Amino acid sequence: MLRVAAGDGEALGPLFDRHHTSIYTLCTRLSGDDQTANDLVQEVFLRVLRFKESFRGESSFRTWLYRIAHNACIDEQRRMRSSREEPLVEPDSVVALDERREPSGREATLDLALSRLAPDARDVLVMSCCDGLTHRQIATIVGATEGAVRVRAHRALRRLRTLVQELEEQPNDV
Amino acid sequence: MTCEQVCDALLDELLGGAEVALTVGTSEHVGSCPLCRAELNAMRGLINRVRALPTPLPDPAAMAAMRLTLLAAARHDSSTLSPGVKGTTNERRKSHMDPRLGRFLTGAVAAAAGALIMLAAMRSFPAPAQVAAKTAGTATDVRPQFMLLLLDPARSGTQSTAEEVRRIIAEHRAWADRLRSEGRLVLAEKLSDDPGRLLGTARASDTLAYTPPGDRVGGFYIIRASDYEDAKRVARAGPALKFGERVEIRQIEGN
Repeated sequence: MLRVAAGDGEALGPLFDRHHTSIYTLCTRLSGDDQTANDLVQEVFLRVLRFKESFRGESSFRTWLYRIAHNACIDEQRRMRSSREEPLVEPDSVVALDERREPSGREATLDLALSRLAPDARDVLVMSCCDGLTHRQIATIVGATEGAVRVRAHRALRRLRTLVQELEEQPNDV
Repeated sequence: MTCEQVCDALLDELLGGAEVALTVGTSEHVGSCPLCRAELNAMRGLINRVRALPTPLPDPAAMAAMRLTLLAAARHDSSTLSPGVKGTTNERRKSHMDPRLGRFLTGAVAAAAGALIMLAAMRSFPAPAQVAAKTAGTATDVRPQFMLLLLDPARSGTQSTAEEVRRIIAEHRAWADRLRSEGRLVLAEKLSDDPGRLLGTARASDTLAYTPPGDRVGGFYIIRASDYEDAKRVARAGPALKFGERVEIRQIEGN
């Protein structure tokens, strides 16, 4: 990253190779859509270029990259709220998110429950459970205090349990 | 220590990673309190279920295409602002590829790369206007770059025969070869025939690649030309117009 910050554009290649999969995975989980995640991965690495001089090594590169990814996901969520999506053609072939994610088992039920969490709750839970980040790291990424992250994570997990229970008790209610 | 405090400590231990460890008091409470033990087991089970969810993985072809686009943006960035040269913040921002264009290009290149891999495996090219030409242009070529967007005509219900498709593809390939030999061709790709996605039609700023239904972008060329007139001459000499496609010509900013 220091080479990129110093103007060595070629050094972006190894950074991309090392981190694009984890960023894609994070963006897919946060956005719930693989096509959006593709866009977000590119946006993240373009922001790395744009803001390369702001990386001062105060946090790990991974944490810094995750912070960029998280901000990109928030921006995308805001943009989606302020606009609408429509297919270029064949509208019948495009289904709503919940329809596409119709649960067919425990895994799908959990996936649906996660998608129904508030974005800020899902973000914290995903980074904690799936990426194994500590509350301190997540606090740096989302720009909150460690205590706030802790409370958010607790609430998210409890809310998730409630949602899963509701979905499993009413398997046809989707 | 109350059950509520113990439950919070348990969640910290489960979610907080290595930085948080259960205190002796919490452990003793859990050992003697069936409710807290049940809570611990339920939450641990739920977290394990979340951790066991399949990991979404990216499409290698799309990522490979994206890598190329990003490296091109990085090279552009470092060539316009070498390490020792400091520009203003605005100048530095201007030196980057427009993210919207970047996203569009990556989507287009990724779609084309995926399609080409599949098509290469099938050893056939079932769609018209297929082009599989790559890169040219030299580092010293300072002519601006233009994108020629090939707009497929609205489906009339008639389908091209296999022979027609082969002929169209052959002509596009020959034209791409000619452009390359002239040092004009930067990139040429055919886009996937899937429906695609259109985002943000409510705002003009989000309609970069918007074309009305029936006028879909089927592929694109990026060429070097001295100006729009030159680019128009190049486009008119190509096979697209002959086969009923329309060509939208756009200059790429910053080149």
